[in-house]
Amino acid sequence: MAEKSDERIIKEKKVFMTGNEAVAWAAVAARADIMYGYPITPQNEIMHYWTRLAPKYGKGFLQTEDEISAGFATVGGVLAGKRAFTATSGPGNILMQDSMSMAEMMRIPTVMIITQRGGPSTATVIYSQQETTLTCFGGNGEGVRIVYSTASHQELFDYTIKAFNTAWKYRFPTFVLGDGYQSKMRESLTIYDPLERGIELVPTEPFLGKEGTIGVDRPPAHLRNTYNMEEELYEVVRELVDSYNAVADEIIEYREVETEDAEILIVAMV
Amino acid sequence: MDKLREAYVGEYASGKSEVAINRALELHRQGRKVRLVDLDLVEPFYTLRPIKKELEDKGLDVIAWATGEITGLGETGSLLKPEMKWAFKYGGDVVLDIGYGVKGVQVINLLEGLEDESPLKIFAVINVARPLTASVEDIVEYVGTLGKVDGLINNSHLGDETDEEIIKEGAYIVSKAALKLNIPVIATTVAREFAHLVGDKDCMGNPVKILDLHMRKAFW
Repeated sequence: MAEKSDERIIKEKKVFMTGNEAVAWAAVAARADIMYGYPITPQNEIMHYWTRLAPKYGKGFLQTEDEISAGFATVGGVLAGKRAFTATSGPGNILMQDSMSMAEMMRIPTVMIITQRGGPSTATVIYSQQETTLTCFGGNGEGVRIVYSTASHQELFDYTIKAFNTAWKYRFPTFVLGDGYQSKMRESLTIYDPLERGIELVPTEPFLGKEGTIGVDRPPAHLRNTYNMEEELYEVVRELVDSYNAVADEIIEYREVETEDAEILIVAMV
Repeated sequence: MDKLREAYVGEYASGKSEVAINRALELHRQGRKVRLVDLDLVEPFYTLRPIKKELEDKGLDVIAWATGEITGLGETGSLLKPEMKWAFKYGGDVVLDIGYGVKGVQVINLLEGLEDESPLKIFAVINVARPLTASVEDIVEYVGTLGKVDGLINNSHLGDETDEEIIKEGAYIVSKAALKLNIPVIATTVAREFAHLVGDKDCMGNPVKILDLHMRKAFW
């Protein structure tokens, strides 16, 4: 069934869709196994579309009781070896920072799509790109995360696929930033099967319940994020940062436009 | 003169509102009295609300909330404006712009006078560049979920990247789906900026109608 499903994915084709739909299709193209989520504007159609696509492609979906749970369920799905993701916005992003801090500390390759919005959960939803700081630095500082920021529907599609690869290759929680306008606006983009384009998909593997006998075939899976001493924690965080710095050059991306004649380039970030 | 009653239904972002507005304005240009009703209770984005006044200024009788009249821009559902329930009580043509999918269509049941006078024609707007209505089989299955549908409209396009190929592909696929559903293709619709790509009829012989785009400014 899976093979038949994959065939369906993904004839390369120009389509007309919303940003949220582009994300859902990209997750299918990236061979994501399951989405955990909770409804919130303007993320909803990622969930709606994923749930329309999931039965056609043999994928899973679980609506949890809130975003705290959706974040931790995503962590749990990944620990079980699933290519799992979630998507949320604003207040949901705040609630998921706890689970994402855990993912940072334990290098759990979650993928999370953020459709940025304004307004706490009690307020009116007006869109803007005001979750860059929260998404980049919302954790408790005991680990590292990777955040891609997109500018178009095509980039939403491309970078959602890439986020799964980055997460599983480097084992850092990975985020894709869009915004509410992208979510709802419609434009044309090309959807494709990454495999058809020669993009290798980094395989998943379970963190827990691996094959073999502990101590005979393999060491125990020792997953831990509680520490007694500052010094002990310092070593852990130091190692995480060193690990990131060792591969940072492979991960960091930017595009220079009309900078050839600049002697000094000042980059401003919120 | 018989009063016309038409409802435009279909897949999310298929172009229902644009087609409904243009139909209402077409009837108005023919000297008919026309009411256009925003019955999209599914989602508050790209509805008639932001352009209600503009459409009224063009001579249409518009029943819609205006942006700012109701609160809540989330997907918390939308209130049925009381006048919407009585939209058919009107001495002219009535064009209904319906929210997407099966849930969207159900709103029609809330209207009074559905069975009176001339029957309501329900037309499904299809864009084959929308992946879930891209093939004959998908369209037949999707339209089947909507209940009674009297005709299809081929509104296949790729936004700014629309070309002759997508319009033709749409005409071909939608015509084949219509044949299977045993309903007619009412028209192929094409945005005015791409009108030069088509003639009076599409490649399958369906009439072509040119759309003036109003919905781009209707984000919310």
